[in-house]
Amino acid sequence: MAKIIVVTSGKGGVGKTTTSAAFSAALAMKGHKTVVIDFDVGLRNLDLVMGCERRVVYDFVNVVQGEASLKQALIKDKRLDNLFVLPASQTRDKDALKPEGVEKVLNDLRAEFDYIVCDSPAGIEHGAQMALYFAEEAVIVTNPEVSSVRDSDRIIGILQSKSRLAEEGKSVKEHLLLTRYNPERVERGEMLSVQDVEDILAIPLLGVIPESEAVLKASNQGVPVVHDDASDAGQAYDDAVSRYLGEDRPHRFLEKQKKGFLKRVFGG
Amino acid sequence: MSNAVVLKAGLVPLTTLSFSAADIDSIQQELATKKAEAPALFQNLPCVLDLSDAAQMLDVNALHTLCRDAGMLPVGVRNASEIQRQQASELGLADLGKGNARQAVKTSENTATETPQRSVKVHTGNVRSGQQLYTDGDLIILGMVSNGAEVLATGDIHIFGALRGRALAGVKGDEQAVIACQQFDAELVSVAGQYRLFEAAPEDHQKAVVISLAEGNLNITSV
Repeated sequence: MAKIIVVTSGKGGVGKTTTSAAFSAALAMKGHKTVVIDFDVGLRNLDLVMGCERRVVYDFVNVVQGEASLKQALIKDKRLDNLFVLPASQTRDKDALKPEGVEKVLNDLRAEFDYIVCDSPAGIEHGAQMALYFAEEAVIVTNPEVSSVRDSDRIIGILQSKSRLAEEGKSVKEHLLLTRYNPERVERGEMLSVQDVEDILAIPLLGVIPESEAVLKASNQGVPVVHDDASDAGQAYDDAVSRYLGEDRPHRFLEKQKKGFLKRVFGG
Repeated sequence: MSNAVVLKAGLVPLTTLSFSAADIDSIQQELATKKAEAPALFQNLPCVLDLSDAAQMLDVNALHTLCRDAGMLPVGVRNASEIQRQQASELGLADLGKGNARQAVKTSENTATETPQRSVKVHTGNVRSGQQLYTDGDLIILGMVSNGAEVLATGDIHIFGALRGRALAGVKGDEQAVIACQQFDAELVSVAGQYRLFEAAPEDHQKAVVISLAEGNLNITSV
């Protein structure tokens, strides 16, 4: 039976899709059969970040509405054999997702996969609620910035009141993932620190992803950033997923990098 | 003018006359004694005639005259029989249907003598941004109240965690209500309608405080 994980944040542009792509790719790299679903109907992006945009024939909405089978819509990742993408529709809107239809698709996927990662759209409306409703675990993506933190707080409240587990009197397991973290700016007092964010949101910290040029490059190339194992962001995502799977890894990239001798002499 | 007539629903207290005797004479006598005790009370007193039990056989015309003589103004009848209802309608008295006025009065007297019980609601967990918690009574929160969250109670509010949102105690006017929290960083606090906003971080920032109302002033005391 697969575990359903929603990647959500409330606010837009904080790195949900980047995280969904990296997280699912890392799970697959570690040997788990994983499917990642784009719930952002109408603003399809995940396929671009996963680099499969030219292979989309049928989409999630087609499957939900019974116009195509799962087999037809699932796109196999070109790098990893046990990773699949279920893209969103670009021509429909979020009302096309009905709870019964979504539940059926998730149930069908459950039998086949180890992990189902749901990439939530921004906001707290129907689309976002559909993405989180069936979730058993949630990765809350937050930037070290006040508006992002408040929106995350709001979405945690919704997870705790409007998800299916909450309705059954149980709770969704929450993980905090702090992205776009810049230790230098934290030191200068321009950015909230890990401690500040943990204090406000009061959920366990899964990982901290440093602000990195590798992320933008990876998105534009359509390669999830974990494949770039030389980059700090790629390593940080790998750490986070290992931690998620129960491995004990210390948090990295929380301190300002000390410039090496050569960099100090020649400038860097 | 379109609002020459306005219809408004409202509750007006009315005296109910109930009768335990079935003959007009003894009723008249008793009424006379009662009037002698408090003549002012009976002057133009609107009243309802309860015609249940013993009064089922009474003549409404006779009762009406009797009440008017005593200075009262009967406006309606309750628990009337078929014949009484017809008589009442001829006299221009309203039929107020069936109901037990005496019992209602009794129960309300009972509750008034007992000390009012305060209910306590315990909320386990954090109150997140956008959530609102209201309770009629005291509210105990085992967790924090986030920025953008709101907790309201007619009684006290105790927060065993940080208060970063809004807390309003005594929302129905209880001036004795207090707000207590472990870490104070509120956006707004209010006791019985007296409120204070904190645009900048409050002086007792991050400390445990109790907020109470004294002579119209909100006191924030660190503990």
